[in-house]
Amino acid sequence: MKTQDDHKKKEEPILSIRDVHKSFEDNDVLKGVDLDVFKEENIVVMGRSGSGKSVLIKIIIGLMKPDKGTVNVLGKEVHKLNKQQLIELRLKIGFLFQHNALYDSMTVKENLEFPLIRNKRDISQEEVKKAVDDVLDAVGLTETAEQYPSELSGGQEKRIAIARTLILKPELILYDEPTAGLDPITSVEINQLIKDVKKRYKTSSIIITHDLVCAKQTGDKIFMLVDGKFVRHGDFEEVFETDDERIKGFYDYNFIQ
Amino acid sequence: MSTVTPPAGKYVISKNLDSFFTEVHELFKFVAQFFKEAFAPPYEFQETIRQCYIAGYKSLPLITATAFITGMVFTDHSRPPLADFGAASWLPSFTGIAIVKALAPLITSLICAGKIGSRMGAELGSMKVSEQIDAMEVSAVNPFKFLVVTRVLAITFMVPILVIYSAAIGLFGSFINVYSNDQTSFTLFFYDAFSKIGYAEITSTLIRSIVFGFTIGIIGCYKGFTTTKGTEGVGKAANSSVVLIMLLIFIEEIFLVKFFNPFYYE
Repeated sequence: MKTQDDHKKKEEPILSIRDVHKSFEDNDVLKGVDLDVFKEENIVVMGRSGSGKSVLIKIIIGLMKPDKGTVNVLGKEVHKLNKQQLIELRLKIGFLFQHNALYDSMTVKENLEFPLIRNKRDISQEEVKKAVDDVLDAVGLTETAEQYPSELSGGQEKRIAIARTLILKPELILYDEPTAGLDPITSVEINQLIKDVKKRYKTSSIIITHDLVCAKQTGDKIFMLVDGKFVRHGDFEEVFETDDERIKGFYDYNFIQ
Repeated sequence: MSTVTPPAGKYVISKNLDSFFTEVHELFKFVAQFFKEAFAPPYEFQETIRQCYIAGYKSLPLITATAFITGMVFTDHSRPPLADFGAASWLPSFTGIAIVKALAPLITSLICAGKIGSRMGAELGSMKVSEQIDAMEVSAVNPFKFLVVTRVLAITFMVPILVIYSAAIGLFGSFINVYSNDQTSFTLFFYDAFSKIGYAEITSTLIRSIVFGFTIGIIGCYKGFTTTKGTEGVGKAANSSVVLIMLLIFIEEIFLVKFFNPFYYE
């Protein structure tokens, strides 16, 4: 199994996690997690439901604090930043929620404009329009601008949620279960979109999923989270060519499903 | 912001009392955060005006109907006992005092509690459980400032205006009743109605309305912002917002009336 250091010896990671622990009362969810993400790299974190995958990305973006350990994003230690510094850092991180979290009282256009207008108060109407048109074009949904989220299909909602993460031109995108609840064909389209986003916007990503197809199609590297620790990482074949029952079982079960 | 619940078996006093004091502590923290965020730039003027429109303008039909009916019915109920004492001519003054000092602020605030407080609890609760509030936070937008400060300021500003409007409509309802029975002129009715109402009464009504408006906003937003447990939690947030707002309005009314009473008769 290759280590990340073999690939990127000379390059500084844009995200570096060291010995992160997180518990909820008596439940130890993360028990010493280490991870490096490099520029233009898609990392997939896989694991069973409740294994702490979503907790990990919420810690990365500063929505939760780790009990122990450090999270360094784009050269900043997330949990030592003050409120203003955290806001500035979040402008460089996109976050795709599992259930999209689109603002249901706003149209698609307003959803996309919202983070832009609120963060760049001196931006002109023309610049806002151009940015909205650009991200709608990137996700292939220019015709939905005036629709409300409730009028969109699951796949369209996911695409608009991805467009919203792109509007601030992030350097790092965190995807939380991007294909959850989607049919297989739409899932493949979303996987392709994630790859296109990386190519077009030159982003790095962490993709949280338990969907093997998504992992295989989108991930440059796969990290398996088992019992609060990464037990195996590498490319798709490397990770799943193993006799470790915890990983083999995960693969077999997914395959049968 | 989340409510901190002590682990089972480690209660300081008892489970219910611990939860109560924890909730009170969280509420005070929420109020403190409101004042901190309200005075710090950037200011969300546009959203505050939008919330004023939703809270104020959209409440007008309901306020108009209830205030008019209250004015008419209260006058109808008051006439026989006043007539028994030979004081039927005091009816405009009596209803004027009752509507301006007591009925308009209380009834308007209770209607706003039901209509706007529950809406805030449900709306923010739904945003919380569907991660829309987290989505704002990760988009580098301050959700407290955008959602809470704007709503609380809007309702605090709109309730006094609605109370003035409600008092005017209530008095008009009362006038219609008096006119249909006693043929009193519009000018005479309103001259009598305001004969016992001075600056102290109007100031008291406005200050109480501001306090009630703030209570509606802060409790509605607090309950919504701290919602947990999915759709069931949203229902509970809407329901408990209304219950708590109404209870607090009555408790505040007791203390504020005691506070303002000495000023009326100086």
